[in-house]
Amino acid sequence: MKVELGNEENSDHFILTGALEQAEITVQKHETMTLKAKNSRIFFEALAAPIRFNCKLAAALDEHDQRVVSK
Amino acid sequence: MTGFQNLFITPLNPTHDRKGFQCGVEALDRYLKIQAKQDVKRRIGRVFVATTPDNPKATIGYYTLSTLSIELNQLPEKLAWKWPKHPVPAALIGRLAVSNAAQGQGVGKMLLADAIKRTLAVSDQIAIYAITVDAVNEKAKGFCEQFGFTRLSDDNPRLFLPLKSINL
Repeated sequence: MKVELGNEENSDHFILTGALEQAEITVQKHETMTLKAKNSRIFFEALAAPIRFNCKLAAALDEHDQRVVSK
Repeated sequence: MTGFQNLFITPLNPTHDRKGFQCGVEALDRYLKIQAKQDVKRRIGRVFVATTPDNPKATIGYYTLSTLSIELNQLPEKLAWKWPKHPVPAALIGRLAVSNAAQGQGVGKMLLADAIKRTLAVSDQIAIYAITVDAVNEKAKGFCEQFGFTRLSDDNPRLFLPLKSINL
């Protein structure tokens, strides 16, 4: 009986592992992108600099406070 | 601007009219009609819908929000030591559309501002360093660039806006 349970557990574990791997592949496809060297550097340097929104975006964020009820 | 001055922006729910939505880009209309509900159900992304107080069922715009990991390659040595070899977490506005009837009323920028505010609200709890957007065409690209978005990659139309500085 113990052996059977063990097998069932192993089988379940195998199915679960397979499902997780598949989920990981799916997520990877949808949600990961890789930048080339030049773009990596530009992106990283943009994130390393102090964050400042431009005037137009700052105005849009203020306007959102006035016009939008966000739930 | 009277009809579209005040807006509600809420997660997509069954009361929202999806079938009647038309924005002039067939792929964006079709997404809302056919795919959006399934994506929310499968937790692939979230969909936020703009309506007006006068007609809270009629969808006048929407955007989708999901997460994105950005892998950095071959950073120069002087930068590489400053950042562990983990991807940079970001948010992605995959789609953003405004109905034909509501175009030219500033609804698009309210959707964009809403996406940024929602992302900023969670960026301290779960580290998110940038918001990215998939520009469907040149017009959409120009729209986003006005607000400070810049090209993320030479071979991809995706744009980004830094939200949080990496502490070096």
